[in-house]
Amino acid sequence: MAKGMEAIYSRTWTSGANGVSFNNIPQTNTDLLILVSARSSHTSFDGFGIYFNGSQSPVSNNSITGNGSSASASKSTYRSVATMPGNDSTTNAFASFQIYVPNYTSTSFKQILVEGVTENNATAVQLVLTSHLSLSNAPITSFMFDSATAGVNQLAQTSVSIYGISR
Amino acid sequence: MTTPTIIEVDCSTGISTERPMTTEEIQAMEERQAAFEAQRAAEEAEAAAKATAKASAEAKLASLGLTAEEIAAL
Repeated sequence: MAKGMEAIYSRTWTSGANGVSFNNIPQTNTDLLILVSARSSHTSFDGFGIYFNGSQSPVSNNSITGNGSSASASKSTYRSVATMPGNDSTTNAFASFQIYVPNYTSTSFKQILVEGVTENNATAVQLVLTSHLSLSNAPITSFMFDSATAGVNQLAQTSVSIYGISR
Repeated sequence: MTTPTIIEVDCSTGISTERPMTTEEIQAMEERQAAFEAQRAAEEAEAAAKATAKASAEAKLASLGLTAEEIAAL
């Protein structure tokens, strides 16, 4: 595989769904870069959940968050890694996430970096930086994302682009 | 109630399929949600208990005569 970045998949959906799964991820690159634009149908801010190979555990998250008025740090062991705007955010405002998965084909734990920010024409926004440690030795062949906090539909116009990086 | 839907993408072909979730998938989604809620509640309770214990310890140190700066330096 030549060094560099290649597009694996990219699409914007015209209808929403309760979950989006990506299967049969090519095992020919070194790293994965996943770019997501998403919005939840929850009443307010909603967790953006991601899990790999069909299992949401075991994982270990460390997050730092800014919400427009304060900053905090937290640890967790569940699949919510960032925040999506909900119905009380500005209409048609989506969150942007960048998920970087180094060495996704390795047979060691995966240390995944997630950067996410909500778009909202108000003081209340959510900026989240999360290190997401997947405590699994299995190479990543699939992943799924969903509404982690509310278990609701992600709205139409959710878009995802997946890139494979060889280095 | 509307049946939850799922979008499945086969990254080897680029084909995506949107369909209603099966009964098993809905059950799995509900189980994930329940596990998520349980984990979150447990971790928030643990963090709250730790914060309460920290505040209590700081109050006891203060009653022994330590200043706020001395407590923060520990």
